[in-house]
Amino acid sequence: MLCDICHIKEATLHYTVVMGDTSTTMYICEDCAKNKGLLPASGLPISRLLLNDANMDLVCNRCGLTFKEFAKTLKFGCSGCYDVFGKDIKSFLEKLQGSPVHKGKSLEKANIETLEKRKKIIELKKALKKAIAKEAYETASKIRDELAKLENAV
Amino acid sequence: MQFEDLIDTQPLWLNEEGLSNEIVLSSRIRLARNLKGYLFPTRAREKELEDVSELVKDAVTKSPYFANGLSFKTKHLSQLDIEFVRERHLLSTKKRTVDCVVGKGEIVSALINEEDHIRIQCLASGLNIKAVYPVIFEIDEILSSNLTYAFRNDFGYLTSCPTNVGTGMRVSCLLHLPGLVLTKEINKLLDDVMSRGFSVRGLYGEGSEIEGNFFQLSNQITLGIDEEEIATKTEKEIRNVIDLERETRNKLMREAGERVEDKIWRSYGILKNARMLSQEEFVNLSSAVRLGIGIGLIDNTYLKLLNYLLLYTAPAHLQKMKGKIMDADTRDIERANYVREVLKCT
Repeated sequence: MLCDICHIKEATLHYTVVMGDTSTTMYICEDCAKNKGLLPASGLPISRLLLNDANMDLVCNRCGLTFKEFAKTLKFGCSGCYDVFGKDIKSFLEKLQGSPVHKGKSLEKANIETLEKRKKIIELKKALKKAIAKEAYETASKIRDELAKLENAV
Repeated sequence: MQFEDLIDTQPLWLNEEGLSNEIVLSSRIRLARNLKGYLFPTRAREKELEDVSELVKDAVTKSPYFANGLSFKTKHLSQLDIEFVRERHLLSTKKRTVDCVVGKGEIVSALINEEDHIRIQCLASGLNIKAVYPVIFEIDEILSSNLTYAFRNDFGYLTSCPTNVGTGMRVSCLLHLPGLVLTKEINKLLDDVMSRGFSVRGLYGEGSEIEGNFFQLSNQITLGIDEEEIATKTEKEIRNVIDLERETRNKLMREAGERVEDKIWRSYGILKNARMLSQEEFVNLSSAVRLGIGIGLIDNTYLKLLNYLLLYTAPAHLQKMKGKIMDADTRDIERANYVREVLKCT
């Protein structure tokens, strides 16, 4: 059997990553295993293998993490990485976790919007106090109007 | 509560209550969460981490579980104190920028800016996943109504490590499995457990060695499965291991009862009389005595003492208790003195 990575040499090693009821097995030649740092003595996680097909040139525009760095550390830099690396991450997660889709508790979008409004209300209330303390009644009245609108919405 | 008071207060999860306490030391659930709009701790600048810390601390202390608790920054701790909180299972890294908020009795705690912005955990004594579950989600609910989590409908709660994404939930139990180790059935069992999607670690979590026949069993999968299912499946797996350990203990006693009894009583004798004890030796001898309690040879009241000793004879605890830094030999002498003193009381 030929190596799953270089497709040239004969595979002499096989790696099985088991996830729940499913497992993925890859057959690899010794050189590729060495290059990927996958020989048992290296102690590197075998899950790195699962990134084999990914586009290594991607860079996260929020935190600057490159896909190459991610493949090395297997740690995301920010929530934006999940957007930028999206497609490759989806298949990676499917192999790693057995499923690419969240089934647990959900944070509804509506909730998030309400939450952001609530935060804004807290900020406005602080500003209102400040304005009153400074006797800037015109500003205070504007803030009050804005507050009333937001509070109605929540 | 002050940091220095920690050494004088026993964590409540150490008491010997809880189901199957002769095999299960403690149960734990932890959730990993991150805030929307902030880089994860590994990439964030210090200023950003400080903002996160303020926001999270503010939200955490809104939960009654954290009332009259304690809050500290690892940045301000000495090397010894870092080791001390690690032994208490409050911290698992050596990272110096972590904030920790601990509830009274150390049942709940929150780590801020470790690998993720937020890690909350809840612990209980014995097999008690059902008791821990509502507590952790009550805290999560309070946090989520005061903070904006990083969340996507498809991937769930977004985490720094892809092995936590989805529910961000890890359920684990600390198990004492001397029977399966003695009969050498443990490796096969661990292979089976791992092939079903669970992971097994040592006493102090990730990267720690297996000592004293203690194993930490937890779920590996966090995505594509809901929280209740994770809890139920992990508990089922743990109950299965408990049953096997009990069966093996019975078989051992039937087939090599005298040998096992001899090992237990010798260990008990050494603990009560030794003048020097390394930590490794203590952990191994106390494992044999723990087995003695489990099979009814030694009185049950010892279980609480052994749990207590397991924590308080660890190097940093010993040094904190004595109030000084000690070299290995001095620690071994003090450890032996302390073990004799505690076991004499019974």
